[in-house]
Amino acid sequence: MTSVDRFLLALSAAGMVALLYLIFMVVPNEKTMGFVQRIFYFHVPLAWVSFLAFAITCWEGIRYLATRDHDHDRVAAASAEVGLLCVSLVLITGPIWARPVWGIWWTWDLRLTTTLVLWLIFLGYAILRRSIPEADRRAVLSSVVGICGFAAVPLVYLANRVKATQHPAPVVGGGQGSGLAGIMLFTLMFGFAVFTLLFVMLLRARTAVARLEDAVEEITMQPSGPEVGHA
Amino acid sequence: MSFWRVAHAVLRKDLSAEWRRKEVLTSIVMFGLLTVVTFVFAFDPSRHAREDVVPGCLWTAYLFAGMLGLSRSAAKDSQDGGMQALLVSPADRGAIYLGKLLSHAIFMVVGEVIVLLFAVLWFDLGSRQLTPAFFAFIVLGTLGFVAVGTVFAAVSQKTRLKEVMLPLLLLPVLSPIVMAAVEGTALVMSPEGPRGMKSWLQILVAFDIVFTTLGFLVYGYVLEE
Amino acid sequence: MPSKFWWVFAAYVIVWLGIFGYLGSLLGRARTLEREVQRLKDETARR
Repeated sequence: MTSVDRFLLALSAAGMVALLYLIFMVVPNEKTMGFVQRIFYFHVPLAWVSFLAFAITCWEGIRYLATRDHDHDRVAAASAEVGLLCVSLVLITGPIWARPVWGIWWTWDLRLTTTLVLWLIFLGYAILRRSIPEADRRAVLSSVVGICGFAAVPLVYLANRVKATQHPAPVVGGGQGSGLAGIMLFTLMFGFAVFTLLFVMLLRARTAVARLEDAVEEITMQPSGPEVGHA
Repeated sequence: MSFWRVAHAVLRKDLSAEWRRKEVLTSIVMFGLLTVVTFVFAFDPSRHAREDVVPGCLWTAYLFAGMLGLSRSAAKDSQDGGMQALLVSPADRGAIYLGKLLSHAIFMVVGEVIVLLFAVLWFDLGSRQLTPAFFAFIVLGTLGFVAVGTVFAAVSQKTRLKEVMLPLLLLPVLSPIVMAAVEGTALVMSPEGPRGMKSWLQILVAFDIVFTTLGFLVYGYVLEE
Repeated sequence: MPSKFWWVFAAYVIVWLGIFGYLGSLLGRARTLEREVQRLKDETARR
């Protein structure tokens, strides 16, 4: 762990404590949904972070194809893994919020469906990486899939939006962003900042692990190198 | 070789190989028909409005049959030496993509039309349903499908999971195509008339433009790996 | 206790476990790998 990592860890831990204070001590109950709406301040920043993560996977994939520098592939893979964790948490916290408010776990609305497809795309990306043993080939093919997967996300959103405008909207799908003001908006923005920081830290930690794994492989692959053993 | 000559050569090679063996087309048509029949067993069409069942049934058949065809075609490429010879030459990778895209699109459209002929008989479709807009959805949806499918089939062929990998990668990315094609075709067939069809066509066109461009740019990287 | 407290509690616990469990496992893996790299380097140097 470098000093930068330590600093990031301390900062995001402090931010998390402040965020929890804001969420449970400062922000008032939302009028129609009540106490349970406080899930919102974790849920939405997590969704933002997963989108950011996949944007980075796409960008680092482009950079890998342009430079053939494996470090770009390591960052792309790390970002996709952290992003997959975050979408999974979005998909878990969403139903926990929906059930007490709407009485259902799931509805096929615009944001839910888009998030689900995002999750499926990058689950495919993760499975792809695991099924290619050769490092160069894995890097090229997963860059291609990462780029195409991310390019599909806006189209998935648009298609779901057209569907939402043509079909009668579900009774449960009330708009969320409307009328959010004052301290609630501030808490949400603060949540965005804290989770972005947390994401950067996780991304760095995951990338560091990937670099170490490659370093181990490189040493053991040397002709005069030692046999792989257990530390 | 010039760009168009390469694309043409790839297309002609695929078509003549297919003419001899008819492997890809047979698998598309057979699997497509079986999917339609299975669909009919699962959702009795006499109990639903035609526009509620037929578009979803047709497009499910097209997708799954198409994936089978793509896998077959990509497997053939990795086995025979023709593609290897082309890769050693300085042939334009975009041109190879264009040739493959066209040959896949032709296989798909021919297979789709044969499946559609059966569907016309089975579901009693007439000129009221089979409008130019209906075919526009088929052509645009198929183009989007093969634009991504050609790239992902080549990717899947180079993994340990081979053809099992293809649907895992392809189906989520294709979800806008599925929604647009099914919903749009349903609008075309609905008695209220095709209102709201334009936004679905726009999504299909946008998808086709984005993914043919991307495929054009990245296909070479996949082939050379 | 506010109504529906346990729903919120469950959501927060899951998010925290997910994120900090993942972070902890990453730090653990990094430490093991660092030791492994060190061991391999020592071994190579001794030859």
